[in-house]
Amino acid sequence: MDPAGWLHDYMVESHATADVGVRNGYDADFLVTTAAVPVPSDERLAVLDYVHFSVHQDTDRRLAAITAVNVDGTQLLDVDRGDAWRFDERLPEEHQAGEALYAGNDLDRGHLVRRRDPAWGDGATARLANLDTFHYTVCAPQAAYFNQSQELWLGLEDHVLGHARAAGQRISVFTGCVFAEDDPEYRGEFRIPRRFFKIVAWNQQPALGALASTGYLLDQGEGLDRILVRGLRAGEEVPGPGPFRTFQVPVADIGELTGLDMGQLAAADRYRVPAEAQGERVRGPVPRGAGGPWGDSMTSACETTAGAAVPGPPGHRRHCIVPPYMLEQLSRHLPRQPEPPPPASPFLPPPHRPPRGAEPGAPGRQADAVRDLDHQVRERRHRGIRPEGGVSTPGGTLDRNISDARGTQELPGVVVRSEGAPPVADTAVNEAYDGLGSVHGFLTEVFRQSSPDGLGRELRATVHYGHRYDNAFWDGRRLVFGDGDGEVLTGFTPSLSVIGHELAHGVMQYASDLDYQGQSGALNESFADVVGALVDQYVRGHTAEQATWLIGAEVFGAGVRARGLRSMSAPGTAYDDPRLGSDPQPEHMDRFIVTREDYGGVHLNSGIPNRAFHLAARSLGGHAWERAGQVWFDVVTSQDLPRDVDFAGFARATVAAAQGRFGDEVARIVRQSWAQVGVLTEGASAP
Amino acid sequence: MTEDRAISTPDPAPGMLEVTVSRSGGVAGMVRRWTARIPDDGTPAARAARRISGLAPAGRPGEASRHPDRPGSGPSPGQGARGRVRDAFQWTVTCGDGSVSYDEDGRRRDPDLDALIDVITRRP
Ligand SMILES: [Zn+2]
Repeated sequence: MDPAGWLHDYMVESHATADVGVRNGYDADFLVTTAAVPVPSDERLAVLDYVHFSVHQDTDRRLAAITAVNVDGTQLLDVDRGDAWRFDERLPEEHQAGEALYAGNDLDRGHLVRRRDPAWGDGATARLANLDTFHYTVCAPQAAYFNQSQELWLGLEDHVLGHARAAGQRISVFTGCVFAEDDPEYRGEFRIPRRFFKIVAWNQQPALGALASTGYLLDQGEGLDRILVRGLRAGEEVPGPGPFRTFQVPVADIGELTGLDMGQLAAADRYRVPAEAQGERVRGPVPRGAGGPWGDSMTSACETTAGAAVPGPPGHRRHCIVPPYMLEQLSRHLPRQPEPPPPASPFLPPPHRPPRGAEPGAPGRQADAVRDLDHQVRERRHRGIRPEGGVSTPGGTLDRNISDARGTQELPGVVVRSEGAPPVADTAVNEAYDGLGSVHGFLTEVFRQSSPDGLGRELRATVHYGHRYDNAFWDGRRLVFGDGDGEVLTGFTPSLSVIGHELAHGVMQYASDLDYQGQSGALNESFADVVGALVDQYVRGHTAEQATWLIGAEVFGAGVRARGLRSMSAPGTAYDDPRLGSDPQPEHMDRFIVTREDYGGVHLNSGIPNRAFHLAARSLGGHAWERAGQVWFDVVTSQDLPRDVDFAGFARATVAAAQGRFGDEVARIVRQSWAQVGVLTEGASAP
Repeated sequence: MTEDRAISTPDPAPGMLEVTVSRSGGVAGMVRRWTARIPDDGTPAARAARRISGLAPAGRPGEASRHPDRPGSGPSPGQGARGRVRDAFQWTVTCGDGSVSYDEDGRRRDPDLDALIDVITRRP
């Protein structure tokens, strides 16, 4: 959008909303907590109010010290982004940083207030809020590398938003720069902050008005220096290890770093230094500024990126609201490079088994090294990170039990972690434990289904089944995970969609129990994929549009040309690798596969109903579990579905369920989705 | 997943049995195939191969489908308590004109066949 166009839009939207006075800035009473939540500020900061947010500008540094935005998750609107930045006329330009800072380098104008956060309410208000976020006062210079990392940083808000559903999906987000004495000078008139903070606040118990908060730090790392000092441009050179590291930190520590009084935001902090860690000094090297706030007050931090190649400040087992799957997401977008082993932890003993791929006979030192690296990444992902924020579950309803088959095919194996026990050294055990917790939380919170039979049975899993066993399955009572062959498939427990898939087979067993062959078998498989995908989306806070719709994106070894085991949005495109062949799934009835293998192609033809679900979810918009997922769940848990139902019968049942629960429009979209994959004909009358 | 380790000369030498093992299903739903020849030497693996090729009586417990021939459907994944296994591998073993399909449990309940699959899939 050109500046003139932006101005035109801005004038139009300003005019449209002038009467309702929407430019009132951040609302301290927004969360309806017992006491208002003012912006942690300072009298020397200039306050600028916009639509649903405010900026407290440090006019010396020419950047925001802190921004505060109210987000109403129930009213968010998708509005076209603007891309023309402008000064705020209310402040002299020499108190802001414009193109003199951002032009001709690889510094992004990083939104401190996320563009979509204030864009809620009626259309005109949302559009004006969106445009308001394109003031220079709302952005800060961030190294342009690793956009995915930046997306994750922004995505923290989605994650917390997902948790705030009980509180009407309202959160307030405070984001700002950590100004430090040694921030590097740039172009003679600016100094670039190395770190940024984010504090998310929500009403934890609406009935009591109990405020909750959680804080994070983003560290730009070494990539920033290369841009500033050497004028490095993207693509020229891979920056050193550790760019863009995100840590969960105590809100009080953010207060110390910024000099802002965090008040009740610190008191409401959900972060707790574990008792066993209190009083411990930080172990290992500390980053830049050691002896300063990091070294002295960062008693603990939750490192959330694979930038952990540099032994960072964390030295303790940590609590973290960020689930491992978000961390995984980030680690996959960082460049692979040799990494030192993670710093020794005073709390976690070394793994009790050799790294994956270190078994005798593993071919080639390079392959060993790659597998060892994979192992390290997995270990690090879980080392000290307890995803207590993965998905919450009602107390007392969850009873997990993880066993270890120790490389045999004997079930159930030896129990190695039961409900409530702390993490063990074995990553696979913890991944299975955490994954079961997330699936259970999803089923409980979304579908009011707490276990496979809905009767409170314990959730059981066995890991390390067989030797290099490249499969995961539901055995009728428990989930069973092999370790993979160590080369192409490197294990299944890292994948929440796979864990959700397997547990869904358990749900199905106690519900419609569709025959596991032919079309009913493919529907059985498809529903398992639906649950797997939805759990993954739920934990990430993804809408149908944002989601990857991949099943098992995390199970492949390095260098395998695969995005996942299956793609629900584009069946037949998940992989194409010399070792795997190409993904054979059909996406339309025209290409239905008749085969004797795979119980009649249950994992192949599931592509057809998978795509129908995806199409329905995309057309319905929003979170896929809310409508499409609910409809599918209603059908599978109904008493009426014949065990040998075919695609058409199942499709008609979903149309009927959509009609019954949501009415004409949703039923029409569901029918249309099945028509697009050739199962139903469009426009036919009621099922 | 496709993997052919076939030694593809048309006629097995006398005293040799050519066996093809196909593994399908699993959560990944990928198909792998191995083909190899083994000596007809009376070992458990050879006994299983001869049985499948029709040279020996068939019909052992756990055998899910001796000649699966229903288009669009496959064998049931086992019986009894473990009949509720989902995402299990399905093994199809072919020798001569004979072919059998087993799930993992069926395979394990037939030690000769288990040995045969081991031999074929682990042969370099
Ligand atoms: Zn399955």
